[in-house]
Amino acid sequence: MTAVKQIFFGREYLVLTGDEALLGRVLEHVPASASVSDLGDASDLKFELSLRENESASVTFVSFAGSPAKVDVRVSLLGEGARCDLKGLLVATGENRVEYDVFMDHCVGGAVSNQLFKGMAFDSGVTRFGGLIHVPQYAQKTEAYQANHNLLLSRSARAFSKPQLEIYADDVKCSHGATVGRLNEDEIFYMRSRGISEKQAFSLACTAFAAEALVSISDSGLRDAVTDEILHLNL
Amino acid sequence: MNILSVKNLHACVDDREILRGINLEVNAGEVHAIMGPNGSGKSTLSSVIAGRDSYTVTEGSVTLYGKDLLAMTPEQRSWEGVFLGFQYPVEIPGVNNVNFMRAAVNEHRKFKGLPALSAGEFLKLMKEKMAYVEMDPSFASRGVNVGFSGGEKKRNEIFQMAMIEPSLAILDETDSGLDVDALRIVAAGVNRLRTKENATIVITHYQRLLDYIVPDVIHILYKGQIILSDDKSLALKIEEKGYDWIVNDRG
Repeated sequence: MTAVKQIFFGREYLVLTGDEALLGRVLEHVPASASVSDLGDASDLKFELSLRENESASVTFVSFAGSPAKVDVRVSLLGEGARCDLKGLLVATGENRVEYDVFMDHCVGGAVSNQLFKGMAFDSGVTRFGGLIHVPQYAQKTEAYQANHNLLLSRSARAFSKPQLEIYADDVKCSHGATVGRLNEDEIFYMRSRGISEKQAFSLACTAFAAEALVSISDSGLRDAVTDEILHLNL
Repeated sequence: MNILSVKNLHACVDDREILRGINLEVNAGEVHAIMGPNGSGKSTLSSVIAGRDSYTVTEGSVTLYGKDLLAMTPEQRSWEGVFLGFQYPVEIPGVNNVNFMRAAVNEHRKFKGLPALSAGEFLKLMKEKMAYVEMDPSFASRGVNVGFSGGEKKRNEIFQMAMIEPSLAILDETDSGLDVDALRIVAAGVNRLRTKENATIVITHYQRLLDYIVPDVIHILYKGQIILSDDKSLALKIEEKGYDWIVNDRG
């Protein structure tokens, strides 16, 4: 079983999955103003969010897999002016799979959604992202963006990406993109040429990759704690 | 004292031989310039010395203070005193200059058996060295080379050199893409870092840079070999007459 913690402050959510000990270390850095709740088991987690007129929410998902995680995210944008910003970092190690399915439902026009999910697969780990943006015919003036970028950190690591747009309206701004790649050798050489060891160069490059998915965590202490755990997993 | 010794160095990329027997001796306190037409092997030579693994050395040796450089990883070469100023400095989004340089400086200190610098000591050192190349303090917190202009990237190279204080700096076309003001600033930074104990190799196409960083000797690299070495007056002749006369002299 993989634990799930939801940390909530203001309109900002942070959903963490991973083993208890790891999450415990991160939770020590949660600001006092935040509320923390237990969402149960990450091997089959459902996360639902509805936003009404002019409501906005920012959710960051971080899954560290020392054990598997399968997360279903469903967001319904119910009112004009609703804004949803989703970020996700999927970290798979060992032989574990981290899987996310995101359904972004633009139930009305004039709402905005933005998704950025990043996957990091170490060892024989697998990350999988499936994302569907649904824009019905009447949901004009929708803005919906989705990106999924994956980093493979070993020969046997794998990443699956299935970005989907289902758009029936004709006056919308939508985009999606997906990439799978390895660490940039030029960056690694540049760092090593300055005396940074290969190991630390990898770890800086991994942190850099992850950083974009963590920028919405406004509390820097909490963000650094999450970053530290990624580095521990890595090395 | 001899710092760098290159003997009969041959190197290839994908079975194509780029360096075909380079011999080069660089002593403490010296500035060497390497010039030559495009494709003559200038950047390959600097990459081989710094340890980029896309090149294969097939023959010859490279030593630094008598130690075999070719057996070392790129980071070991850096710790031993080699610094490469990149022709095209690499952008590293997400890694800021402070964290990047702090990691580098502290690894150098560890190699020397010194304790890591505290955050305060490090920032003080960084501020001092940024002033060498008139870098705006705001650069410290930005991603390494991300969104930097050509001139800012080259200044950042010299700033890094100032932080690391190498015994052998190889500056690969540090003047390319610089306007006159930036060139003057970069050259002043390099000159300020010169001591009797260290050495500099500048790789350039233009005599212009050598007005500011005055070399003791100029080497002409052509088709993977040094075909002529002479004093600084050679740069003026090349500016005037190109390389043809040297190449033709060789028959």
